[in-house]
Order: sequence, then C-alpha cells, then structure tokens
Amino acid sequence: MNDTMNPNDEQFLTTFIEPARAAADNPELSAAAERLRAQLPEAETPRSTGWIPRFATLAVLITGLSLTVPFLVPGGGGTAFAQVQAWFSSYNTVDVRTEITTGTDVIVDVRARASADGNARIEQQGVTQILNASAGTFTTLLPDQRYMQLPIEGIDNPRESMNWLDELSTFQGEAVLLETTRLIEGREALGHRLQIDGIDLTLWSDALDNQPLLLEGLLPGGLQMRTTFAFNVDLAPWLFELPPGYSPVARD
Amino acid sequence: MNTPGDPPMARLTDRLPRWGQTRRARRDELIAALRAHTGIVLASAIRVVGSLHEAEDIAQDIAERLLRSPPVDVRNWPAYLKTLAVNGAIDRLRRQRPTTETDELADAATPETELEAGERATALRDAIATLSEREATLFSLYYFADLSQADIGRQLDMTENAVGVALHRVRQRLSRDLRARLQLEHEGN
Repeated sequence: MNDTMNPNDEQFLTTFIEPARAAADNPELSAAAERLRAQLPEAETPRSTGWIPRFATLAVLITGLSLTVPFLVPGGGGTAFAQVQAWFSSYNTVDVRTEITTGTDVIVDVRARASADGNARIEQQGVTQILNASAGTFTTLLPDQRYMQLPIEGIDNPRESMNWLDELSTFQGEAVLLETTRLIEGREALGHRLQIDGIDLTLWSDALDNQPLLLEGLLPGGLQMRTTFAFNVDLAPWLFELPPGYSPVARD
Repeated sequence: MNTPGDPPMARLTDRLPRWGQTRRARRDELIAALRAHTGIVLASAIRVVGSLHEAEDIAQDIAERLLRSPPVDVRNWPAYLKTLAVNGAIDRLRRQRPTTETDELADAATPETELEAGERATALRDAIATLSEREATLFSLYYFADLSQADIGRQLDMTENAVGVALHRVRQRLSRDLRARLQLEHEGN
C-alpha cells in the first residue's frame, strides 16, 4: 500500500467531509437537544450540584417571591448596593430570564414574569406554570396542550425554595464595586462583585437608577450562568390565564 | 469506624449507605453530563447518519442505556458520549446502507466537481459504511466528533501514533473509493 497521500487527495476528501459535517448546522438541532433534555430525569441529590437545581426551581421561587414580598430590607452591602437590592422588593412587574450554558449548549433556560399583585408565569423546557393570585389557582401547561390545575393552597410552601433571590436581596456580605463599567443594552452599568455559596457573581445595575440588569457568574463545572432582569415592564393579562385549546390532564 | 475484629456482615452493612450514595452520585453525574453534552452528541451522530430524526433516536438510546446502568469512572464525558454517539451512528449506517450502494451518485450522474454538497455527503457516508467498524469509528471520531488523536486513542485503547497511522490509511482508502465510485458513474453516463 502506498503510505503517502497526495495533497490533492486530502483536498478531494475534504470536499466530501465538509458537507457531511454541515448536517450539524441543522436549525432543528437545538430544539431536538431541548426535547432530549426534557426527557432526562431530575438528579436525586439536587444540592450536590450547587446552584443549578435552585435555578431549575425558579418557578417555585418566583411564585414565592410574588406571594411573600416585600423582602427584608437589604443591609451590609453599602449604600449604592442597597439601592440596587431595593429593586427586588419595590417593583410592579419583573421579567427574569436565566440561562445556564456550557460552551454553546444551553442547559437551563428559564423565563419568569411576575407582578406585585401575586401573578406569575414561568416557562422552562416547554412547560409553563401560571400562578393566578386573584383566581387562586396554580396551573401547569404541558407541551401537548394539556394542563393541570391546583388551588394555591395546594402548593408546597414556596418560601422554602426561595434561597436564591432571598440570598441576593438580603445579601449582607461584601459587595465590591468594580472599577470598570460596561454597556448593557445601551445603558451604562456598574458592577458589584459578590460571593454567595462560594460562587463569585457579578450583579450589573444601571448607573443612573441602580436597576439590576444582569447577574452573571461561573458555576462549578465550568457552567456559565446569566440572568437578566427587567423591572416594571408591561405584562399582558393573558400571560396569567389558561389559554384556549387546553384540556385537563385526566386523573389516574 | 470498623476494626479488623468486626464481623464481616457488620462491615458490609456499614458500607452499604456509602455504596448507595456512590451509585446515586454516579447517576446524578451522568444526568448532568447528558444535559450538558446533548448538543454535541446530536451533532456527532447527525454528521455520520445525515438525519436529525435518526440522530435523535441515537441520542435517546444512549441516554436510556446509560441511565439503566450508569458508567463508572468516566474521565472525559464529552469524549465518552461522542464515542457512543459515533458508535451508534456507524452501526445504523452499516445496517442501512448496502456496502456497494451508489444510488445517490447514480442519480447525480455528474463528475465530482459538479456534485451537489448533499450528494457528496451521501457518497462519503456510503463509503464509510463499507469500512470496517473500527475504521469507520476512527474516521468519524476524528472528522465528525472532533476528538483529538490522543482522545481517540484513549477511547479505543490505541496509542496516539497508531491512531495517526490508521487514520492516514482510512483517508487513503476513502479517497480511492470515492474516486472509483465517481469514475464508475462518470463512465457509465
């Protein structure tokens, strides 16, 4: 066998390899990955992997947030940081989106919208949870146009799962103001570096009104966490209502 | 803590909770790895088989199999999962494609330079299906799953040098095979 390879052969072969590799550029690939992740069971020992499960339970967390505001008055982070923290307890509406990624893979993508009057809507991996305070219902919308509905009293104590925003809004440790600023969606942002559960986080807030804009950090295992905040945005009433076309899950 | 004088059963029962914990931790680690690397598993598989539907099936098979029996002591999850994806994809490729099949090329009936990209990808997959399983895996791990030769060596229990030599030969063979297929089709038309 001839053990050398003509450079033309390499080039020739590349013209076949590249189009085969391009199959991975299929735009449906991300959705397929999301479907597969949604089928995976939850880990049995959630706290062992740090913050991920707590972000995954953001639904309950925000539910708790909307039920139990106001938060405690913030403390030892310094005056400027206290003004940042104050936003978490003085909003009319809030839109929070958390993404946890590794490389280009999105592991967690949760969006939660809540209002101070007790409504909340949380979307994650095709499942939507809606808390409607005036109706007194907690509804879960499943991907196949079915829903489950419970009275609010049927929900386990949401307060117990509120570690994350609780820890942020009542943070008493040192919040170090970064010397550099950055632009976030056209707004000049100041950064405060915090450490919670041994994880270094940076909370970026609007330099003019102290509104929290972005929380980011590196989680154990090389996972990137990024949470964006938008306060006092318009939230349409339908967001907190059962959409048409859904049928209830049959009871076993 | 046990002493050498403890009855064997007592030592065993003392260790059981730790074993249980280890198994649970292993499963949790597996779930986290599957979540983290689903994208690259799919990408590796789809490059080999060319079909998203099949790539999804392959990824699902891998997850189900691993969850039934979580592996022990995985040092490099991405490399491990990519290898499983490529193995599963090669297996499908070899089962689905007749070893001498050139249907796409026959349909194309054009010289190599005029083949469409999709036809070239199909021709390569047909050619890969004619390789031995090990050759097909080597080639796919390197070109489709982006593993380094060192990582391929670790996954397939080969030296890095042996991987390099084997890859070179596979490239030569595929190149010859593809040229022959193209020539055959060109002459036939």
